[in-house]
Amino acid sequence: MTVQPLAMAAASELSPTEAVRRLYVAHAAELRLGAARLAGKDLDPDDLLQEVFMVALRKSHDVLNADSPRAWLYGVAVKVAASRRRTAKVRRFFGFDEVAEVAAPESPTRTLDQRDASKQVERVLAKLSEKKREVLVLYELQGLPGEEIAAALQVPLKTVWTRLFHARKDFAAELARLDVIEQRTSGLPQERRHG
Amino acid sequence: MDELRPWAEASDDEGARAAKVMALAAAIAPAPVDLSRWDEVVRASRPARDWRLAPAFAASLAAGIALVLWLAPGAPPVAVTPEAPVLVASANATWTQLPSGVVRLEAGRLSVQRATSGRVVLETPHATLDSSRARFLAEVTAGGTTVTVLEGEVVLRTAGQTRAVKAGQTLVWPPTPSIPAPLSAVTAPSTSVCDDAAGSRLDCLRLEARGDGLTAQAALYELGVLEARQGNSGDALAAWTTSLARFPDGVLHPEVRLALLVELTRARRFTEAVAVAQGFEAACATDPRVGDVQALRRSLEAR
Repeated sequence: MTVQPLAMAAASELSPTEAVRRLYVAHAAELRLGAARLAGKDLDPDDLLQEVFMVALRKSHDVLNADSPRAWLYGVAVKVAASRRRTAKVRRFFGFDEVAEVAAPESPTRTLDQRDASKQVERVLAKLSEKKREVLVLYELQGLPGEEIAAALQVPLKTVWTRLFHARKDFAAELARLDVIEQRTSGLPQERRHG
Repeated sequence: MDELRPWAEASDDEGARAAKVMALAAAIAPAPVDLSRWDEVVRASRPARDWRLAPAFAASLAAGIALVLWLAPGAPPVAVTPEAPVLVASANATWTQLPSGVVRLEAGRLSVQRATSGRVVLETPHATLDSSRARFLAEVTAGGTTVTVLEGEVVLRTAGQTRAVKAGQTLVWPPTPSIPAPLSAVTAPSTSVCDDAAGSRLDCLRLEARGDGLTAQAALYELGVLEARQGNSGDALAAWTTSLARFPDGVLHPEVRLALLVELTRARRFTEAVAVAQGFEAACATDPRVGDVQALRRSLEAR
């Protein structure tokens, strides 16, 4: 779903809050899932989503005048997720980590294969560097075009492709490594898992 | 690097497997969001003061103040003021210090005893003395300003000139005009009466000066010359002044006037010297030395 909030706001003279609310209606679900994928399983996706839109409300002029408000929101989500991950790491180090019940950002209608794949992706993404994880999540999982990723991460487009190239390689290698470990521990033949 | 090929087209096994897993995960639709939570977002985005922090802030503030008071030294720090120069003026000195700090000396003697910091600017009717960390004496008379530097250096400035006076040097400003040679080389015949005097020649001359006629005139003139040679400028001037008063048209009055003029100039009594020069020009208009007298008078009047 593509929304042009600025054009809408100009046409109907919406207030900035209302224009941002329309962005919320249009993108909240995918942003919540994307933020959860970026930040990891231990962080509350609703908190992340709320923080992204709090920033959007405070900087409504920026988001409403951005070339792609969706890319702008993803840019904020990337920063929020990185910040939360660092904070969580510190909290874990000092033993303050609290395991909270978080609402699943994925649809409950997913298949078993999808659920297994999602868990595997989550485990492999946790092993990648932050930059590679960001570009892989935005491109492969969230389906953002390269131009929007470049805008969200504020890097040149070629950098996006370069990072994606290396991220894919690392992802594939790490996935293969995890497969071998799992095969050894479970005793199941690899062919069956590929099924 | 241009846009990459879709991952699903990967030729190697690892890539194909990774692309398949990633595609499965990407196909999962996001869970719907409770749109009623938008109001929470709006509320949370409004800045709000958390008054629960007020006691903590007050406590930390009080602790900070207590710490500062505890660490504060007992006595307040003494402000170090720059050491001011000490000015000592003679009894007859006329001087003032302007609000700007400039010292104005009209007459008399002023001693700058110490100026370890800061700058001392002393203005006189003849020049401006500028010093920094110097000890010096300044004296102002009708004839000019005399500077004697004891320590450091003093810069003397006038409208068109600048002179530096270093420690141990003395400078008189304006400088004494040069006296034309024909005037300073004036001689007159000495009286022969005292050539055979038993006592001192000066006593003999003083005795003869009480007399009358040419002998008295010659004695007074020679008395002045001898006193001047001995550095008794006042006695010399007194002798010649007496001579002029008693014998204004005497035989030696041109020599007496010239001797007076030269001695007054050397004594830097320029105003009196000008008067004597004018008297010479009026009384001795045909004298061949009148041109030199006029030149000296003009240079005296120019000061």
